Amino acid sequence: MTARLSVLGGYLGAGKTTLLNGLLDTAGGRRIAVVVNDFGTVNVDRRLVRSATADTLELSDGCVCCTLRGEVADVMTRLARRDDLDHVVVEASGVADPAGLATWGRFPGLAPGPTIVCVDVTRITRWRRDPYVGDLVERQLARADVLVLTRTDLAAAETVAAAEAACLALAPGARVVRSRGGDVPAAVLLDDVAQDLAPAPVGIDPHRSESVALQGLVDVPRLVARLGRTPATLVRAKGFVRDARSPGVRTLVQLAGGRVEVTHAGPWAADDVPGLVLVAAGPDARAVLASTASGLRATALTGTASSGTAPSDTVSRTLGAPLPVA
Amino acid sequence: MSTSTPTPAAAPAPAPDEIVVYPARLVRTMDPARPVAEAVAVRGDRVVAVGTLDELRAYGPVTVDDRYADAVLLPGFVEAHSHAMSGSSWDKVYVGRFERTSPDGRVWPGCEDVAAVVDRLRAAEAELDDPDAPLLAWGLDPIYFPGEELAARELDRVSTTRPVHVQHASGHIVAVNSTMLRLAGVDRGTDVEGVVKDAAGDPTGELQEFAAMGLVMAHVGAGNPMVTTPAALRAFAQDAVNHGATTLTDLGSVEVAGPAGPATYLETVDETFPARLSVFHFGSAGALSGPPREAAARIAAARELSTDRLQLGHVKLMLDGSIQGFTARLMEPGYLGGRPNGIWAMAPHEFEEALTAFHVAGLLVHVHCNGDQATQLFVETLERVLTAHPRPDHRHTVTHSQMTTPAQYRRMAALGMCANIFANHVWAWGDQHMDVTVGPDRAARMNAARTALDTGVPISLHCDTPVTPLAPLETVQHAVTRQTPSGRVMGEHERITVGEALHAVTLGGAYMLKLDHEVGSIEPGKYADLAVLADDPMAVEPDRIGRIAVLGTVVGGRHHASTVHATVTASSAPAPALAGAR
Repeated sequence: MTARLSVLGGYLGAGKTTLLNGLLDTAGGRRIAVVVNDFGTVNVDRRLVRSATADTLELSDGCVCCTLRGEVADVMTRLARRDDLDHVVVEASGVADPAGLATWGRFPGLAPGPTIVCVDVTRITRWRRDPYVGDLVERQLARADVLVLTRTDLAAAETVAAAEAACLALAPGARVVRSRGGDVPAAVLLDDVAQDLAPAPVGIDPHRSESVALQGLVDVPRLVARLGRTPATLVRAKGFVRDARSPGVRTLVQLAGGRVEVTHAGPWAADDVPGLVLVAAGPDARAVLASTASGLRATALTGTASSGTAPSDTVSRTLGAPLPVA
Repeated sequence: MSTSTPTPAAAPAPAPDEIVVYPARLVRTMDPARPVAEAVAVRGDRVVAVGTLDELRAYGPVTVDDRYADAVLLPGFVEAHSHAMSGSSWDKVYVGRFERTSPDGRVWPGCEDVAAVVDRLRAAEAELDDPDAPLLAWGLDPIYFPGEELAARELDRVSTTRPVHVQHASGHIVAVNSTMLRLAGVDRGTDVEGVVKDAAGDPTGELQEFAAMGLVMAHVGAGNPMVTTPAALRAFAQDAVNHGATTLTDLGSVEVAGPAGPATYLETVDETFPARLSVFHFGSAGALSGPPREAAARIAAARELSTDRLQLGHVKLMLDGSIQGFTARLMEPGYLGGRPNGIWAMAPHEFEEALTAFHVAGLLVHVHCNGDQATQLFVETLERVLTAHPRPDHRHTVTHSQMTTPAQYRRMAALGMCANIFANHVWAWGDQHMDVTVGPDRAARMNAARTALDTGVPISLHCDTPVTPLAPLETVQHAVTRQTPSGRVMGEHERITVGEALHAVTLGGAYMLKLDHEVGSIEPGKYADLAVLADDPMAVEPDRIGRIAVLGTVVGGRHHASTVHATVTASSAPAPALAGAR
C-alpha cells in the first residue's frame, strides 16, 4: 500500500503537537506514521508500544512514531519502503515552509496528501504583523490544503471569523476545520479532500470551496454588485480577472468580511488563470456555491473573449450559459 | 577517491625547563610593547621573552635553534569560525571553481569550466580500484558556468559503468550520471519534484532538493556529517598547520551535550595534536541539541574537562541561512529583484529562550547571522536578555555579520558584542553579491570591517571552512583589498589596513574565544604558538599576502611542518633540531 504523505505545518505554538496527539488517538484503524522532532512531545501510552528503537516506536494499533534525529532523508526513505502504512504525517518545524517536506509526497512508495497548517486564532493577527516572522507565517498559510483553526474556544466569535477570513485570503480553496482542543479526528484531517465528509462532529465546521473560471473580459462593477448580493455564508471569494476597462491589468477581486475589494496587482501575465475561488460555510454551502457561481458567470462576463488567452468556443463551453449582452 | 593525511611529524617537546631561542628573519609579535624582534625564547610550551639574542640570554642558559633563521614568525593565526568536518571533505574529489589545497599538501586547481570538471573526474575515476565503488565529488558551483550544463550527459563521459555523484557547493543539488540513475531506478516515470527532466521527459541527472537527492542516497554511502571522527580532526588540524593557524574552532557540534559527550575530541586532541581546538555546542539542531537549559548544564560541566589544547564550553546558535542561497534574512528592501525573504533557522521566541539559558549559565554564545535582519534580531534579543540578566564581559559574537549595518554596529558596541566577519565572501561570492543577490550599493557595505572597528566593535575575520578555504593570510588579503574575482573593488571604504587585519586573525579571534590571555600574540607568558612564514605580510603588496608560503607552525613549543611547503622548510632552514648551547 502506498502511504499518503501529509505535512503538518504552522508557526511555533500553533497547536501542531496537540493535533498530532489527537490524530494518534483517533486513528480508528488507519495506520498512521507520525514524524516528529522529538518523542518527548507526543503522548504515547507506553503500554501500547510494541517495539522501540532510538528513533522509532511501533505501536500496537499499527501506528508508528519516528523522530528526526538525523537526516530527514533517512527517515523518509525508510518509511517509503514500508507497505503497511496508510498515512505519513510529518511535523514541520515552526519556522519551516511546509512545501519543502511536501516534495517527499512523490517519492517512490509515497503519495501526496493534504498539507495541514495550524493557526492559533488568538495570535495569528499578531504573528502576521511581526516584522521577523510575518512573511513566514503567511507563506506557511498559503501552503495549506487544510487549515486547522486552534484555540477557537478561547476567542470571541468575531476573532475566529476574522482569522478564518484572513487565512482564506492567503489560502483560497483550503478546507477550514475549527478545533477547540486538538479534537480533530483523523478522518477529517487525512481523508481525501474531495470525499464527502461524514456529518461534522462537535466543534468541526467544514467549509466548501469551488473555482469559477471567468475566461474573457469582465464587467467589474457588475461582478462587484453580484458578489455584494451573496448570502453571508459565502465567506470568501478571491481571484484575478481581466477588467473590460483595463484588460492589460491583473485585477484582484476579493470578498472578505462582507466587503468586496478591487485592487490592481500588476500587469496581466500570459499564464494567469482568470476566475474566482469561492468559499462557503454552513449546511447549504454547496447550494450557495452553485448559485453564486452561475450568477457570476451570468452577470459579469462581457461576452468578449480576451485576446490571445482563450478562443471564444472555450469561453462558451466554460460558461455553460448564454452570454449576456455586453 | 581518498586522500590520506600523513601523520604530522611532531618533534618531541624540549625539556620543560630548557630555554630555546629561535632567531628569525623577523618576529612580528602583535604586542605593542615590542612589535618586532630578532628572536623569541621558549621554555616548555610558553614564550619566555622576545627581543635581541643578547636580551634573551639574560634569562639564563639558552639553546639557540636556527631552524627559523630565514623565516618570519607571527603569532599562530586564530580561526574563530571553522568546521572540523572539513577534514573529511577530501575523501571526495574537489571540483570547485577556485584552487584549494587538501591537508595532504596536494593542490587542486580550480575547475574553470565544465570540461575541466569532467577531466578532473576522469582522472580520479582512473585511480579507483574497486570497479563498483561510486565516484563522489564535491564543491561544484555552476553559478560560475552560466549557459553550461553539467548533468548525466556530461558525467557519462566520466564513466558509463560506475555511478558518479557530484554535490553542488550549495548543498541543495546533486548531479549524477546515467549509471547512477539506472541503479536508483530513476527514469521518465519518476514523478518526484526536483528530478529535472529534459524536453523528451527523461531525467537529466540533476536532482534538486532533498527528496530528489534522496533517490540516489542509498548508492552514495555517505557518512553522517554530524559525527566527528579522529581522522577528520587530524586532517583538519594539518590543514591548519599548512596555513599558519594554531587555534581552530569546531563551530557547531551536537556531540558534547549528547550521549557520546566530548570523548572523540578528548581522545584525539592530545598534547601532540597540531592545533588548539575550541568546540562550540550547536544549539540550533532541534532535538539533537537537546532542550537549552539541559544542554547549558551539560556544556558548563564539559567546560571543566577543557585542556591546554581543547576548549569546551562555548555555544553556537544559528538564525538564518546564506545570502548566495537567498536563505539569509534581510531587512527592507530585501533581495535584488524582489525574491522572497529567506528562512529562520530558529523561531525568534525559541532563540530568546536558548540565548537566555546559555547566557544565564555563564557561557559564551556565537550566533550565525548572515542577513541584516538576523543581526537585528540578535541585537534586540540580547539587549532584553542583558537587561534582565546583566553579565560583565560576555563577548557574545555575531558570526558572519555579513550585512550588519552601521547602526547595528553602534548598538553592538554599546552592548559589548563582537563581530566575526566573513571576509572571504568578498572573494568567493563578491561578484554575485554585486550583480545578483543584493546589488552594488549594499554589497559595498557587506562584511564591514572598517565600520566595525570605527564603532569600537572587536572583530575577527573567518573562512567557515569547508565553505571557503582555511587560509588566514588569504582572509587578510580579502579584508584589505576587497577585490572580487572580476577585479572590481567591493566597497573601498570598508577596507582595513594589513596591521588591523592581522590583529583580527590573531588577537581578535582569540578575544572572542576568551583566549586572548593565552594566544594571539607572541608575548611573555603566553603559549608558544607561532606561524612560520616565508615572508612578512606587512612587507609584500596587499594582493600578494595570500600567496605567502606558510612553512609550518609551532603549537605550545612543538614544531609542525607544512605538507605543502615542507621542501621549502628543509632547504631554507636546514638547521638540526637542536643546535648546541652557546
